[in-house]
Amino acid sequence: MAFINTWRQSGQFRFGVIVLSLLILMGVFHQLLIRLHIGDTDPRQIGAFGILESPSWAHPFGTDPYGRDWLAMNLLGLPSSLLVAGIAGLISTVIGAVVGFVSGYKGGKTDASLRTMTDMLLVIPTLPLILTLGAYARGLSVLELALVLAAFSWPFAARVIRSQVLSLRERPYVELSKISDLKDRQIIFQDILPNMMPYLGIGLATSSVGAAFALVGLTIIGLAPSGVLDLGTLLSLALEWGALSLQQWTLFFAPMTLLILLFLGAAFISQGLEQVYNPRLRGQQ
Amino acid sequence: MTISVETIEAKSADNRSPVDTRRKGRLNPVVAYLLRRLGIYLLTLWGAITLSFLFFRLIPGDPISAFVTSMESQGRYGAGDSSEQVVEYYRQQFGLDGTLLEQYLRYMERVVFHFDFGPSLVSYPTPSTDLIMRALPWTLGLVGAATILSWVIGVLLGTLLGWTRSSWISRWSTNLSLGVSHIHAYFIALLFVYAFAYWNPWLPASGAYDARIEPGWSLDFIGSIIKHGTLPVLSIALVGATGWMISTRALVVAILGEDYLTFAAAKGLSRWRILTRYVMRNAWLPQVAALGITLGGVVGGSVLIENLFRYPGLGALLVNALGVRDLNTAQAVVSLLIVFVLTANLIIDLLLPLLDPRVRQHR
Amino acid sequence: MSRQLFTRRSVLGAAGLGVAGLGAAMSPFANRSNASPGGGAALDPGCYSCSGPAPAYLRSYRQSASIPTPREQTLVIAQPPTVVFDSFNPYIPNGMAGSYGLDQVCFEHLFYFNFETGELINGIGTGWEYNADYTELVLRLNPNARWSDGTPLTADDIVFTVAMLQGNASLFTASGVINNVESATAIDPQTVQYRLLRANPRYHYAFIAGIIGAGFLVQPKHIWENQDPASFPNNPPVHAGPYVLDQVLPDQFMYIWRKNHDYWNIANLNCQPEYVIVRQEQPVDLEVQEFQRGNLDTGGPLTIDYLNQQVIKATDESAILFPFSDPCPRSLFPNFDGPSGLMAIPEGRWAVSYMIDRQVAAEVLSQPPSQPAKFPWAPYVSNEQWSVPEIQQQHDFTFDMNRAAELLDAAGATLVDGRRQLNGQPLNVQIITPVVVTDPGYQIADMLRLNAAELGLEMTLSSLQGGTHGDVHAFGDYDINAQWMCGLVFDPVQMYDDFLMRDYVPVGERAISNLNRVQLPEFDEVVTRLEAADPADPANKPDFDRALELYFEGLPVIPTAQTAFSFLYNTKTWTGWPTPEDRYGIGASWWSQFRFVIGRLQPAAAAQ
Repeated sequence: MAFINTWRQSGQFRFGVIVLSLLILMGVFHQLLIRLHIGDTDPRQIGAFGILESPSWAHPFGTDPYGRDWLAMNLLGLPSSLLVAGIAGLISTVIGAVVGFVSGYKGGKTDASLRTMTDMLLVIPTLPLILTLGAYARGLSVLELALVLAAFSWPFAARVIRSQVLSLRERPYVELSKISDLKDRQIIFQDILPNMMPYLGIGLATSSVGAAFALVGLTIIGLAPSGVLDLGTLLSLALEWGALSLQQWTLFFAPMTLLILLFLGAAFISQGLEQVYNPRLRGQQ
Repeated sequence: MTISVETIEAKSADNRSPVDTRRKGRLNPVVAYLLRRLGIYLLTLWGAITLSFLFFRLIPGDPISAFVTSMESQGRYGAGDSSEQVVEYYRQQFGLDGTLLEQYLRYMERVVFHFDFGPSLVSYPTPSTDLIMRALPWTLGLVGAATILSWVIGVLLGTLLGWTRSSWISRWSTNLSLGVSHIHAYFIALLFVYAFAYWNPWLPASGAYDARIEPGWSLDFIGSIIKHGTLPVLSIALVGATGWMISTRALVVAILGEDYLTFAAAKGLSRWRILTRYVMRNAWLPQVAALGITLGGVVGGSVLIENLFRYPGLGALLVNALGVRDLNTAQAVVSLLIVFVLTANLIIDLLLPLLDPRVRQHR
Repeated sequence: MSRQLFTRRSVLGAAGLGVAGLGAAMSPFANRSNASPGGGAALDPGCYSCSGPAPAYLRSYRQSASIPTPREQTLVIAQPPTVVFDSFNPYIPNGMAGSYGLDQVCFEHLFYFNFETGELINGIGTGWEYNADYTELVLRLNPNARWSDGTPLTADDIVFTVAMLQGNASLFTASGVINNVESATAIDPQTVQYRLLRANPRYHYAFIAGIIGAGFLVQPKHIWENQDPASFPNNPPVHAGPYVLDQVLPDQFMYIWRKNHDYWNIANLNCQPEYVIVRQEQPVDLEVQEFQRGNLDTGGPLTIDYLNQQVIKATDESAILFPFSDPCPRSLFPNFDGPSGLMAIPEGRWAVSYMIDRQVAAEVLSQPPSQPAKFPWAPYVSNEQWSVPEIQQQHDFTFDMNRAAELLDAAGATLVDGRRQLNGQPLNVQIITPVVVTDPGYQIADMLRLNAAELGLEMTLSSLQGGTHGDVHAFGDYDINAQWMCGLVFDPVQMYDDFLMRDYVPVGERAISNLNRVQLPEFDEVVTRLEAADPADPANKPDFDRALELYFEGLPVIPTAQTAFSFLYNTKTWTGWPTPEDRYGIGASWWSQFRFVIGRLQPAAAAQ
């Protein structure tokens, strides 16, 4: 419902959804696409093609110094980036939503203590901690990596959602429900939750972008646990090889463009939702 | 920048309690507010530092033992059985002996009363605090310049975009800056480096100043710092500015819809006067408040930028410290960032009532 | 990028890259043409010049070096990052700013070994003699030796340093003295007599700078005697080398060393560069430009990698590429007590060896290409006396998947439903490595993983960062450690004694030596006997051969490919570098022997 509504009203939302859907489709069908592109060759196989070939029809993004097709490598890296971003975003939104809900709805001491805790976590700079963990962790999987990133990003979502719940709680129909002695659960699920959906969407998009970037940060600094081949890894490889002096621009631009599209897609979705549902911004259009 | 708008709402919702205190009638409301705010400050500070302490101590593995092993296996002739003694010695030096509680109490005692984070491992025996003090000015300068620049440009342009909200230029610029604001500054920095330092070598892409110039209060030196700072500052500021533009534009658009502006226009006030008197004032004040919240993220995010530009700031220090598991230094950097963010927020919270009469009344 | 920071540091710290192959046949460039099985084309360096006109940044722009000294008097070296700026104390953590010049130009070791020529060069020392049963050692010093502050360097300084280390077990390298030396006394100002704790014909190895530096460093008594060596920063450092510290610029990550015109040995080593600047390396794209502008003379192992070196060479004929074969072959260390249990079985270890295609490892995965390993050491002329082809041929390091499958079956690792099991447990062999994903060492281990999967043997490979790898390694929670094997400078016992049961500790306790928990009783016995035997004495050769045979049988370490590096030298400011034709010295800019290269450099302007 909210989706169709927003789709109709916001061009930004449409743009974001289209970009992100394309990326997700590419991610989901990456194996098929790789097969279509280079046949049965293992995309990671060293020396499968010539070394450092310039972009051509056969290799639109050229090949890397190990003789691997760079387009296939990017298709291989995309799902990891999407998965980490998606899972981390989802988990942190769920945690954030629960904490934010309880905090905003219950109020009083529960609210105060949860809020203090959230604030404490909020002021701890996340990136250094994630870097530390990355440096110490031993062979994390995509899921574990996503969990780690989520653990550090939920306080932000909690704070956003709490303030929304606070404002919803004061609305007449919720007040009415309270007076009419409905159970908490009913109030939450019937009155508050439906109105919260767009905000959860915003939270999801924001924390996914955050997680995707944190992963890039990890790989760029070189502290990422190995075994996960994501777009950030490809980008840092291109930098390490010296894309400029080797005159292989595509090595650098391919993962960069995909990552930027990923960020933009998620960002425009959240912006679109906000535009339609946030009264403060409604005047924008 | 959606967050900053939300958080202001959160803030105004939070600030009901001082009213309660006043009702009890024990303290002067201003004093009560100050005390309460200070209390929250200290509590959050303690909590955050404790949490980060626990985080660093609960990471599996023994940094000293790992370090000594790697030193001893360096192929130096005759590495032998005595390294248990070496490990024990350094474990003590780094405050890693005893139970977690003992370590914690010792740590807090040293940090709170002596501002001593212990010796660094990256540059033993230099205290971590010294290393940080050497790096801090660079980071503060970089981030400070970028933040101020982005705020000023962002708020000015944002006001302009809001003021001309229905023109197509405004709409397209908004969409464009929306896009840019969601690309992390690191990517912008990468593009800048490639475009303006490698491909066209116009600006330096590495270091904080030219080594040929003697540091001091000379024009040459300051010029060199500015030159070296241009690319990193611009990349942080570009992304920051677009964020401020969007949120300012939203605020301005909201204000323009208010009744009192219609009234002011009907009264025959000039457009310029409306802009400066009503719109700017009302739009900028919340943005000052939002400034404090963004600072933390900017400092944290500058780690990557500093690393890219080989800038001698906290980010480079942190990454090097983590490489050898220098817990003391890493922890000191994190603690410093915490203090920084919290204090910036405190100051802005305390200043805001002075700047904005509405906030004052509310309290 | 900084991604390499940790690897490079560990490479520097532990690997001790090394020594070029002797003889032109060994040149890593020699066999590039056949380096492409599997359809991969070898890189043709000429291709860069044919891809179009030179890029804009090379055509006109010239930016001078960002250094505070006159360029024509300065040698500029780039090295991996450091943050150590205050301490020059080699006995405490990170006290020795790694490769930033202290060891290369400021310290003076007792002796230097030149792997390239097999020559021993005197530093402070002039010679040593053992007594008949190797329990005493007399070390002689050069009477001219002087510290950089003018104080004479005498036997007293050695005696003082030995006593300082004996009295401070917490100092790094102290154990080398504590475990070997009973006492050191000065007989006269130029003669020190060591009494050793037990017969040891190899104690003098500690005096010789072999891989990177030497184990024993002499300190000036008059500077150190009233200091606490556990915290003394030794800043500015007073040593006996050809350069002294001029200044450190922490904000620039830069060390500046100034020539000591009063250097006691200046008659033999008169370095022309007035200054040596060692600075932190930058992203490779930038360093390539710096090199082309003449702002950089040489770098660390990966400052400008092999591919980019070829790019430079294609546009600048005067640049010198110097192939360098490291003393530490890339190797896999099977943990005899590893969780899978497979590595405790000799057949299991040999199966791993047969699953490695060493040809591909050396010629495709290694950049620059190197050679497949045949012996557990680098193929130097000086090592040839230890390499016995007859023994090696019985235990060949070949690639044979069928043989690997047979051996796995023989080891009891049977195939059940497509997956190998040992004692009813599905096998998962855990490989760890300290190198990053791009490193050839990782790629070789990954090849092993993929090949093992074909035989139904599951392996996981994780690249761990410095400290974490050290931990896991020391505590033994892994099956195979993919790293490099270092230590052999003069004879194999230096390497064998890393695999002795006297250093064995169970998994879960921190091991200091024998990190892969080797338990080979017979090998142990022979090596222990060899420890007291003079390697130069032909009477001991049968024992050395026996040890090699037992090594192959037990396979405590599985070498894969030689480690090769290529160094790049700029001739725009300085000439006289070692070349593939004239391999007169060690070309690695972070080895202490690099001073002899600096000593040969001449200003390029004068040469023209």
